[in-house]
Amino acid sequence: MSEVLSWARRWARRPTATEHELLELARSATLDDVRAAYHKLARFAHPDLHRTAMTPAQLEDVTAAFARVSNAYAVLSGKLRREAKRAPANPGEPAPSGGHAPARPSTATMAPKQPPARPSSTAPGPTSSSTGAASASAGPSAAGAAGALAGPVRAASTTSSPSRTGATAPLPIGPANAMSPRALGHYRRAELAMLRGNSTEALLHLRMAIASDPQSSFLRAALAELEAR
Amino acid sequence: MTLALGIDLGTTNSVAAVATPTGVEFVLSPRGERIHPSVVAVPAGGGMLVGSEARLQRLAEPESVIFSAKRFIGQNLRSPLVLAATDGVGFLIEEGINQQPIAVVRDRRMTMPEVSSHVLLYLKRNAERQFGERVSQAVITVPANFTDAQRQATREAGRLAGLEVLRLINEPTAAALAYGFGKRLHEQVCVFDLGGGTFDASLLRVEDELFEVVASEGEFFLGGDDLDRELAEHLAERFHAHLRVDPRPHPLLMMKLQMSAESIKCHLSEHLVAEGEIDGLDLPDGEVVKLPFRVTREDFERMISPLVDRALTVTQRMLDVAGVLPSEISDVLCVGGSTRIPAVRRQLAALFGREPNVRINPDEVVAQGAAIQAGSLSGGVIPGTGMAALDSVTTLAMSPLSLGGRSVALAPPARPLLLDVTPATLAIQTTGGFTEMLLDKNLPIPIERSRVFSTARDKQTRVEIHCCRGEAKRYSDNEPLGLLVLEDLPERARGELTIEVTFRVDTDGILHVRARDTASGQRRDVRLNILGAPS
Repeated sequence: MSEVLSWARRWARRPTATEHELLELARSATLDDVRAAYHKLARFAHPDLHRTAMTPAQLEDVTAAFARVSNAYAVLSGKLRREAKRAPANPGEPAPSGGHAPARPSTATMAPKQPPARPSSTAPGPTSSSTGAASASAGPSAAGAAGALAGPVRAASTTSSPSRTGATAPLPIGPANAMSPRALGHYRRAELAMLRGNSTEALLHLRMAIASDPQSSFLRAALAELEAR
Repeated sequence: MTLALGIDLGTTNSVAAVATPTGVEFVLSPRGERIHPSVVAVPAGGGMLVGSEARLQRLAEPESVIFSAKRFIGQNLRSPLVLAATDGVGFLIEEGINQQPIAVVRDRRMTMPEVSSHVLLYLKRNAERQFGERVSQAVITVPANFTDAQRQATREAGRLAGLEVLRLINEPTAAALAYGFGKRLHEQVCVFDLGGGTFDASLLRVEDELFEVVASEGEFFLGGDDLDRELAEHLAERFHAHLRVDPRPHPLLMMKLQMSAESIKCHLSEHLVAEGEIDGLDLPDGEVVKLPFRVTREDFERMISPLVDRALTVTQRMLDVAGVLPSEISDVLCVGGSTRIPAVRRQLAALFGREPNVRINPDEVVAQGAAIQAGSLSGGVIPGTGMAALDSVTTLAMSPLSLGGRSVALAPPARPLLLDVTPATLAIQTTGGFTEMLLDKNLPIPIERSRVFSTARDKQTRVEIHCCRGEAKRYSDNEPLGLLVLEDLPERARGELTIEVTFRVDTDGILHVRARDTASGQRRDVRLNILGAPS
């Protein structure tokens, strides 16, 4: 129970986490991966499993986190299903997993993660994927009542549409995007070890992460950085 | 210890059950029936009747009997479909506060949640008498296409009956749970639920104890009652031709024809011809007459074929939404009494290329699933055996089984986990009377999604967030859900003040909306005032 609570509170501290991060998935995840990740998290964190063992406030924390995970699942599975419909599958070709990885990992790689910087100062962005919705840009016309809202703020929705991000805007990349789920497990343990100041253990976990995902340039850069320290 | 009841609160009939260690046990009426008519009557002599006794009252005093309350619960009486449905009932419906329908019988005015609470209370009392224990909690099933207001009103009915409603679950999901619980399935099943008043088609992926709804589509005013009405119309025409009196303006006559139609319908599911006479028909001039009739199954199927076609079209659309071919479905579950009609089964077999599953009891399977979920959520009993097919699993669990040299002890089934979906597209109004979709239909619940909006005018200090349900681009073409108001906002130029709107659909499928102006960071959790809901 405390395990699921700390999981929920970890996400509460990260309001801008990406869909892949919430589902603990690599960028290259397929529809089956996404579904499997969601089912795994449902078996761990679905509020129904905890309702008799928690206070209402605790249950709300878990529900809030799981509701975000559900949204991540909805967004990713919807996107992958639409892609599959548009272009009939090309199973031989793996998705470019490192495609959005940062060219050079910053020095903050092994520090506790900060929410990625936003391209505009508007607000925390929505977690939604706003694909193809009609932009209600009719302006304050006569039909717009006194309290009417204008259309959605587009600039804030870069999270789910990296392709539209301008060259100057930093990409919202977490480590989850840059490696396989198994490697991510090791990477997280390396992070924890670093936080405790145990660099030997951190090195060990990082090497294990690289062993399970040798393709990840993100991991290799992190290892180089740690070894330099 | 108290019991948690699983209740299938139906349009025409209700069924309740309790999970026990040996299986699911049904709540019986004092006369020993498992199926309880969802009927409430206020007889002339005073008091109140519920269940089969109330149903009998329909013949004596049709205007004192309230039935099909589920068709009106949580509805906005000004919606055209609802208004049309009020014509089909014998009791009087008036508009109450918040545009909700009120049943008026004799000198009593009852809201729809009140009417339903009498049915729930009746089930609760019968269960307490039968099991000798207090019943304090319940899982109640609702059609998958039920709206927010309908769900909230159903919760309210439970509360009025003194029940803590642990969860509202969708009827097709409950049926799939009863079917797949403890069987360790890994397959996709389709649930075709043609009940008394509503129709739902759902696709579920079952993986062990996990029941994930992939897609669900439905129609609210399509069910066995509509089939009865088609047949009653036919009988009315015969009546007119035979006796030179049009029975249609006389509610008592039509009521009798409708009840006869229901019996004829059931008879035709078993036989090719229904023949006989309806007696005890009172003409306006006081004469009592008989109406001879002869209806073949073929005639009946021709009358109902537009309705059956509608249900099949919805099913096909649901499969398209899910992106699944009929051939990929492992089993088709028939739920609701109307799936007993041979024409329905024949058309289903044609669509899926396989015979639908008719081994489950279409009237009881929903309550069975609700009882399993009630047992699970209350932290109480998980039945070791639910349906016949489970017996083998539990027998094996007693004795370790040797598989390939390894000794394997089969554990009892794990607590089931239901992953249901949002019942409808949910949106808010933006400038120019357009809508901006926040949550699509068929998304997994519980779900939360935020979008950022900006103000439309300079120095706008008040924002009204109109929430609606439906897919139309124009707000006015959708069904309004309610209004959220943010006031005393800081004065800013147009577009500079941004408002973050968050929609959360909880595990009951009920929408919660909150809004926050991101400039001050001030959080204003304003509760949505839902139209048609009991206030």
